[in-house]
Amino acid sequence: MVKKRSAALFPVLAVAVGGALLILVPLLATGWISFMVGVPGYGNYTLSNYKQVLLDSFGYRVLLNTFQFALGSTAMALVVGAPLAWSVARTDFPFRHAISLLLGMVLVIPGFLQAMGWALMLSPNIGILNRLLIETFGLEEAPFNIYSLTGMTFAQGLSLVPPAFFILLPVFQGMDSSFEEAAFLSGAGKLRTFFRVNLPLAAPALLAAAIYVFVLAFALFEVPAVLGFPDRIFVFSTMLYFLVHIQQGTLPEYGLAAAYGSIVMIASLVMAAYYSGLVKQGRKYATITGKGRRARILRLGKWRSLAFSLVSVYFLLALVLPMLILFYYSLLPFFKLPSWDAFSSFTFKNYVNVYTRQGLRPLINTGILVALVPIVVVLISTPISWIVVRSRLRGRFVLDNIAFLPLAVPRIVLSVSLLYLALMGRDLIPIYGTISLIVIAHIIAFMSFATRTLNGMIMQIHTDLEDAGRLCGASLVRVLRKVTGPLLKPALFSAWFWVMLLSFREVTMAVMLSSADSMVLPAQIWVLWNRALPHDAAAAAVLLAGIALILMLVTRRVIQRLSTPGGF
Amino acid sequence: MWNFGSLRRFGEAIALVVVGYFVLASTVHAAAAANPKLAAIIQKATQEAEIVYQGPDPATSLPTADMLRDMELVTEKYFGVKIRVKVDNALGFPAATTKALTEIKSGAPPTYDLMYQTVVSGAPLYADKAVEHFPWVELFPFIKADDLEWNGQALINQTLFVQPAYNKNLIKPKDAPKSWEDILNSRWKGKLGLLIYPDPWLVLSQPRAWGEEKTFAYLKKLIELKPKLGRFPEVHERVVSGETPLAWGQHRERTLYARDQLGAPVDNADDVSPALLWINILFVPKGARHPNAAALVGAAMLTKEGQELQLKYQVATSMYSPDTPAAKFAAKRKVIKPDVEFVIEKGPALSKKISSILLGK
Repeated sequence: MVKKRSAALFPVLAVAVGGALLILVPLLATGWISFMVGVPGYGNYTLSNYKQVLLDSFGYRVLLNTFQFALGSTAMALVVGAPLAWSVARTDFPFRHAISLLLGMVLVIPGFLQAMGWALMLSPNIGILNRLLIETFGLEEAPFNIYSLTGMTFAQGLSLVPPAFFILLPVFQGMDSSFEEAAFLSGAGKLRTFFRVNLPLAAPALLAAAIYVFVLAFALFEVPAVLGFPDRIFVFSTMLYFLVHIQQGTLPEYGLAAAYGSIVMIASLVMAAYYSGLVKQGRKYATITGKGRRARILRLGKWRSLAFSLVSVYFLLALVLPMLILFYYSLLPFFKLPSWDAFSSFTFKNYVNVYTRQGLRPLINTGILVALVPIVVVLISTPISWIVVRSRLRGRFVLDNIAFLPLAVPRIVLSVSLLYLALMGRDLIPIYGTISLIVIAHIIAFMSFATRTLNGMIMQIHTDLEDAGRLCGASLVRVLRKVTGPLLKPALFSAWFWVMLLSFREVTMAVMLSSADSMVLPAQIWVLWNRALPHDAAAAAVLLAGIALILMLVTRRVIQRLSTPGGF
Repeated sequence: MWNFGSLRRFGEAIALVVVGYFVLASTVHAAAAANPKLAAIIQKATQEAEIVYQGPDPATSLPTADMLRDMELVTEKYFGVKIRVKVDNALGFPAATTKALTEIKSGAPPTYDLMYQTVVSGAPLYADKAVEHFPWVELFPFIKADDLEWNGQALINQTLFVQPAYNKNLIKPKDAPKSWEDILNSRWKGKLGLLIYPDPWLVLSQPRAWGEEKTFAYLKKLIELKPKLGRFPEVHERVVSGETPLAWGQHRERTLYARDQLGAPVDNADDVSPALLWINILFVPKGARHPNAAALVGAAMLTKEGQELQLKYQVATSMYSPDTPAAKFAAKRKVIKPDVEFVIEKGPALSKKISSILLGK
């Protein structure tokens, strides 16, 4: 019997284990590099990197900053993201079809340009809003200072709402409205129902989103670089940047960066273990059963206007203002505060420059990435999530932890590991210096998001449905294809859509792994920024956002169905 | 409407170009004929036919494709060989150095045939003997010993000067700092931008400059002014926007470009002395796939036309090439050059010390 069951599991398990191995190999290489100084793979073995990590008091200070930064921005992302996902999934919230699309746009604006935008708004010296408040109220000094830990956390929190939203959306959609109806019948109001029914049912997904966003915030670089660097407020990522990019006369300290990465990996494993505990109690959270499911839209009533106003404020802060500043920036030959003089100097030359610099190659390569990465990620993540949540295999949570770990490794370190592995194996698998290597790097890095999204959704699907399929004689693969797959559609699409956007805008790995023929658009923006051509970079970023918008409009029907309860 | 006079002048100009080309070509061919080693390199370069150039995109808004085309044309003009130049510029300098060194150590040919680095950022390759040797002076009559770095292994194609830069709308030229010490004045507190790179401090730490003691004392006082730290692009943008009206140091050439070509309200505090030198070099990494073609393209960048190309696309030239803007500026100023041997020997320890102060450890 056991043999038969294992044989049935084999195809699913093979894909899952294959995916896990794909992740594990560069992670092991990261661990290996952390014990080295000098050229990755050729340096001397040492414990000095770990000694430095554990004994450096500055490191602990940075860790404390990072913890506050990550915790604050995660809280903000969840406080905005969870009600937003619930509103879109379960209520008659106005323009809810547009929310996913708008959040996708929030995601594609490069972080360093968002941060520059906030600096222009809230810098104590030149911030437009600060100046306005000083002049209006006759203040002696600027009321806001974006160059602070609070400022960084605020700016980052706004941009982390989309991941929280996209993880939670399918979960809220998967909930059977009969639970809410039961609450209403018992006399609970909408708010009470949200807090006492919807939120507890979404607990594993909320925790998954919290852990994901927290670990993501730990490694994010662009906002802390622009807003933290100036006043020497260092977080984990900016410290690593210093180690890897600013050393002089010696090689970058990849070993030390890998040691820091390994420590964070271990910390992430602790969090992942807690999450695994929740997944083990998965049946408690199953809301999709064989009894039939109704997807009913809740009427927000008097709350509708308030909810709409709050969401509008969010989009004003997270999308409209940054996009306006980005567009304004892209039209200027050099920076000027808004004035008639500035408006009269507008030029489209920066847009022409973007094309003439590199031609269409970065665009084509970016197209290859977004076409391949999300599909492969979803194809590998689905079996991993299914095994983790559904099977009773020993060690299944190891698979989940492996899938989660790449998120904790600084992308620069992950890239170095992959670069080295590709170099070593170039005769066997000739992908070194090609777009294929970037595709593989993205698959590894983004699997964590897809598995978080899918775990939450699979937990909601009661096993009865799959058992019924198996009892009717269908193979496991067939059950997955015909029963689980269709029920998972919102989560599959959500994962695909989000991974596509992540892949579309990823910079760090692309910069490290690209070559003359594999340059992608976000890496080009980074290069332009580094060449002190921020206005060309802004133009490229506007184009990037424009392309993202077109992509989303093309898939708008699917996005609309995503935002409609029972749409799939 | 063209008249006979303008047609004649046009004809004369064409004739001059044609004659000039043939004179130059014959000179080069004569040089090649007279120098069998050069002739052999040209012959091999013809077969190699292309290079991968690890170098930056233009610092101006000119297209990268135009820069590469002009590099090919200058090379062809001087050596009569057509070499296709492909650029690979995604990585930062230290990462590109690591990538090349990792490849060389693993026995693979490096991705790059011709590398563009600062004299300091590429130093690990030099220290690890991972640079191809070419007898540059012997091969190319226009290259002098002064044009070389790393014990004669690398070509100096640009020298940039690190000077304070300021926003003209917020600081009058008469109020701009006149010396490095002027910047320590408390009036600049909270109004100062500072680079996060240790390079300028390594240069000042050299015994022939300020020495370590004075440099570190100065840096500590500077940090008390709470400067806003950043990389070159962020520090530059903050000066242009007026957020930090004064930058402790910027590449003088970039500030001039922003002032003269874009009309930005910025200028250099040129009275400040000594100017700190930032040296960009070209070299061929060991085991490169197309070393001969790379050597010719690299050498061509030190010719008069090569330097004009550097000025046009990178807004910088070498002070060791005659009559360039860099040479003219350096002739009137005291400049301090980084000593690579000093950087290799003391750089790692000093960099850590400098970083500690910059980071507020």
